[in-house]
Amino acid sequence: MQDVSYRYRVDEAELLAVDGVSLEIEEHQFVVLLGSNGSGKSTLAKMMNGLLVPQSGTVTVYGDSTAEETDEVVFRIRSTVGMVFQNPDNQMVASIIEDDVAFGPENLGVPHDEIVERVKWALEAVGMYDYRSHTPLKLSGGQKQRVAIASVLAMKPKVLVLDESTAMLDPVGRTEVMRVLHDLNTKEGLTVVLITHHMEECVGADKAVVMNAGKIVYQGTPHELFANEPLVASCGLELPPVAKVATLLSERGLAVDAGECNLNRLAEQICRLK
Amino acid sequence: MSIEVEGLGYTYMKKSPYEKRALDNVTFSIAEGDFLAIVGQTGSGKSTLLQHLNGLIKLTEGKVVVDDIDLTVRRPDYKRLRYLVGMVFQYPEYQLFDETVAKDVGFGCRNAGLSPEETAQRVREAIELVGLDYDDIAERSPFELSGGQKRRVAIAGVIAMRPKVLVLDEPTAGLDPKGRREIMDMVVRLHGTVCPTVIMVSHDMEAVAEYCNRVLVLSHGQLVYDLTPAELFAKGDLVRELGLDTPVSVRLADMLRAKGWDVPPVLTPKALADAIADILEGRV
Repeated sequence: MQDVSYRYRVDEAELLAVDGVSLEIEEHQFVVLLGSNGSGKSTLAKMMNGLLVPQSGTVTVYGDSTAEETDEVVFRIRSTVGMVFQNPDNQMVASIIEDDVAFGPENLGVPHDEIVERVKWALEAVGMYDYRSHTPLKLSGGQKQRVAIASVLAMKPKVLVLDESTAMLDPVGRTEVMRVLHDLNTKEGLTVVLITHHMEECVGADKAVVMNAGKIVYQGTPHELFANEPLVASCGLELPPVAKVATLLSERGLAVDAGECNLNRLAEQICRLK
Repeated sequence: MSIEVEGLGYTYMKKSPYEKRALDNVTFSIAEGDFLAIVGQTGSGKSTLLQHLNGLIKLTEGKVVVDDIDLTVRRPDYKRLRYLVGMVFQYPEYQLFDETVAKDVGFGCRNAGLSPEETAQRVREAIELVGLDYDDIAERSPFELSGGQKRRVAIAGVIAMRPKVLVLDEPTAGLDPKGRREIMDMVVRLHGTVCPTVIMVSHDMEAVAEYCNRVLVLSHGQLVYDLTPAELFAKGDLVRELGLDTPVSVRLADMLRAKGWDVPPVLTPKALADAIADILEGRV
């Protein structure tokens, strides 16, 4: 993304949602995109696969500009960058899980045998293959969201963008989805862009990006971000609980790493103090 | 003002192939002043329990008495019950509908037949109690507000009915960190002022540890624990086996104890940091 801006028109007023942002998402990375409501995260995410096209600046996906309007390019971009949204119910189209997962590749004109293979692979990747002939209606939130992810995976995207896809889940469901995402990232090399309000989901990410009022105010490791509590607070965010303990200890003059957000590592650091 | 629940049970779709036992022999009581958390996995019966407390589900088994309203009698006074127990559902902002914030917040009062003056006064009071600026917001459309503001407007609509018990089903779900903090500050303020009793369903154990004085744990429709947060989280693995998180501070304190540290029971990051500093500086 190169110097990208997007403004919404609401009645007469204009709202600059994304303001001159440049961002590079590298292949195979796990990137967490943070920011309070209205900071521009979702708008930025929707520009990653051309659902929105910036009014200025360019978004390039594996060499294709999202501003190009030919069907071929639009198709290529949309199947390269898959999107998963907040409410899985809004993303389910079929009454049987495997049909739902097959819907995407069917639309892409994938041959039948390959669809069968992809559906199996995608459902196995999210741990839902045993449910393939069930209806999605009776699943838990976490299971539904995993099926929604499988449905996108079946289109073989290289990048998965998740817009608050864990927000409506209970802790068990959230853990399930996070495990699936990290597995896909490490085993399949899938690039993941995760938008979230849950700071603890930054644990294990390669990069954290923070948006505030339409601009990127931080890009770097989650670790360095959480070592900077004033910045975190000024963006309307908070420290994940582990980093909160680490920060409080470091404020008390103890030699621990203030941005540590891994529980085991913090415990080791504390033990070394004695 | 107290709530007594005794032997409460409930079965959905009774005598059908879809029959499901949602609550089974649940007994507890809530005293005025309690800030009570109800926790448990999805499907453990939390919502079914809440809906009994203001008569949204009709009592079929056991006993529920709220203040002096006995729900076992033939015709309980549901109207008074619903004024007494204010219910804030999940994502309450989806219930906003009116043209202005003031009209929306006053809907319950108008429905209850209160005079326009009384309604106006209660609306102003409720909007201020949820931490919004009445003059700034009253005449605006609720739909142009931020997520956190919308939620507070929806809660103001409940507060305007002046309930003595406030029941909240996952009040911070889906909000950003700032929104979560604002809502919890608001709930604490309401608990300290107009609603002496607060009952909150939550999956957020950090919040439960920080704010609540009691926790009820439901599992498969049964009440398995009724304890203080400190007592509950001291159970460690037993809590995790129920599919619940424990607060990070509790887990970290457990890890340190396993390494021979003498850490006192703690529930919050601040308490843990203080305890660690005390130990290292030889104050204990």
